[in-house]
Amino acid sequence: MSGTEPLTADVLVVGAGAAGAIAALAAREAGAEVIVARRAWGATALSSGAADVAPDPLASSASPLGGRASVEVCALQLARRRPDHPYAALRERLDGLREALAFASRATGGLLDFADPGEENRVLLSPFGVLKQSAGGLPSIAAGDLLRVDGTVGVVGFDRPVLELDAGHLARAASDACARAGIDRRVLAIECDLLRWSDLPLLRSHEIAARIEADPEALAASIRRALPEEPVQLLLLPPVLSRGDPAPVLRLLEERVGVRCAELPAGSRSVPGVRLQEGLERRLADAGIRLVEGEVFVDGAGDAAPSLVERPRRDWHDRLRLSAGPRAVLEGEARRISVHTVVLASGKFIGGGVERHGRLREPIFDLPIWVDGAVDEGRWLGDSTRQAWLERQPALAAGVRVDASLRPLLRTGAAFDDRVFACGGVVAGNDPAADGAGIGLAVFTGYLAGREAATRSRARGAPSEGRSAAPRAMAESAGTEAP
Amino acid sequence: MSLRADLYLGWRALIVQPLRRLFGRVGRGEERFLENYGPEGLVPTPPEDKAMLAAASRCISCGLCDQLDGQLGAIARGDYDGVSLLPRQYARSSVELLHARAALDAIDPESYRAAEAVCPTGVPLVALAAWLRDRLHRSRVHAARGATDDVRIDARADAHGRGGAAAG
Repeated sequence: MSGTEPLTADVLVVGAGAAGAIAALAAREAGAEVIVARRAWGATALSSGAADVAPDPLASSASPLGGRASVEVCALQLARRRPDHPYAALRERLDGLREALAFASRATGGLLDFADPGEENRVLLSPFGVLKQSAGGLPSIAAGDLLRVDGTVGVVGFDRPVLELDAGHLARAASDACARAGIDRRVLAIECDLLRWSDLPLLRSHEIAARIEADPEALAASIRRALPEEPVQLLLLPPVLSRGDPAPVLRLLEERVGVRCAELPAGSRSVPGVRLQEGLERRLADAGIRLVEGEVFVDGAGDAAPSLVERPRRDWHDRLRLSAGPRAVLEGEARRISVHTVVLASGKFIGGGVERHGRLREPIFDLPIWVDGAVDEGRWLGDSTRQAWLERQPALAAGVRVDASLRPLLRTGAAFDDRVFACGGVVAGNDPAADGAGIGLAVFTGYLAGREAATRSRARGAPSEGRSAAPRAMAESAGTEAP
Repeated sequence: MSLRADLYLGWRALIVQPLRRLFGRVGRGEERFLENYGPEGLVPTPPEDKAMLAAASRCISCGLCDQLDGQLGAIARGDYDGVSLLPRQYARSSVELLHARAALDAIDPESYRAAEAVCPTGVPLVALAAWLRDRLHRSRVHAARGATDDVRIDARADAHGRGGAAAG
């Protein structure tokens, strides 16, 4: 890496997960030159492949479908119910949800498929046998909507504990859940023998995906042998049909087996998560967005003595740097970044957007981190966790607070800087597991933050080269007309 | 305690031990420790080793590195089950490390560059793999010091070939 040549653009997006990628694509479409800096893969690469926007507020284990409100209404209800949730800060802008989700589907070239927010959530079967309400996700997973089929659903098992999926247990749990939800579906386990005689009992998910990719006919034959006498309307398969696009494998299966097929959302060791991450990075490249690897930091931030109270770096503008490794070691080799605006899409604990060194801190600008309604100044993390695992975990909702323009807030409530925006996991108030808003929230906030950053950048600086060509290039690569 | 026991302990303390110190092979504390525990894989942990152990402990077992591990499947599965085992298991106990001998002999640390680049917590997989090979080599040498001649020969062979020296 050159230590002298600065990286120059209108907008810097920190993080290349779902929020960062959508923010970068949105800023690019708005005409800005964008650089995305990512440290590594984060929570998006570990995600299930489903994209939750907001669950039905009336849904419970006794009534899994709840009141079947539209996605828009579910988000509005979440904003009303939880004043500290990001949707509450963005309440006046929730009508932009439709535009944001449509943009995500279009700008990712169909990598993500969302329901119209005016419609109800899709009902997917989670790998734990729970009915999961989700606005969309990867098309192969979003196609597993249980409400879009009648009759019998088959859950295909590969007889592999490494997939954390026991088709028998899953089918029984799904039958119970459907009965509680008042959905008339019979769910059968279909154990196929694809890997039963394999000499490698410890094959990982992505290795199974590679095998299926290489010989999908073997899977089709295996499923045909296992199919029951009674007609099955939908087959839900483990999410390991391909490491890349599973559409060709799904098409072949549907042709050979004669049944509609979809993938289940993934648990841990997610193949769809990596698929999503790699797909987003490809889209960034297609849109002419530069992706650089390294850690962003503000030069001189390490000079201050450790403090239990944040010291926001207001002087960041001429001091932004990108290092190829841990900043303490490589600060001297770091490259200067010259941009008008910054979008923080750095995630939370996995992505590195929130760290703990004595206290929870945001490592780039040292913004205050809110947890459980207060700025953290070094409280014991155990106080921010709850024993019951289904309960909302305040520690998992830690992050920076934002205003309606997605500008991070100082503890006084004032915006930190008009040129800095935050989106996705780094924003406080959302516990993805308990609140049921994960990738969908990242997409929505990413879209808004990307557009804000582009607008603000345009107001500050002269147009950069290629700005006018950007929307056309993006639209062409997404196969749509330029706006 | 009986008089006989007292006499025996006195004999050991006043006669045998001083004579052993004068004429026997006693050695320093570290040497004696390694003689006893080296064969079990317990070798000294200098500060640079501790820094590497701290880096390895950042692993959150997400498994992303295994998805980019080209050697998984290319090496016999009984010997090697993915790069994530390096921080998750082998780096945690040098006793476990002895069981990783076949895996560490077979891997190429440089091939972990892609996996290292996506690690969410920045575990230095390339350096960790090279360090584990070096630590295993040290364990083998210590094991050989306190073991039989045939093991000593084996350790010498390791030190001069067969991946015994530190890689990278």
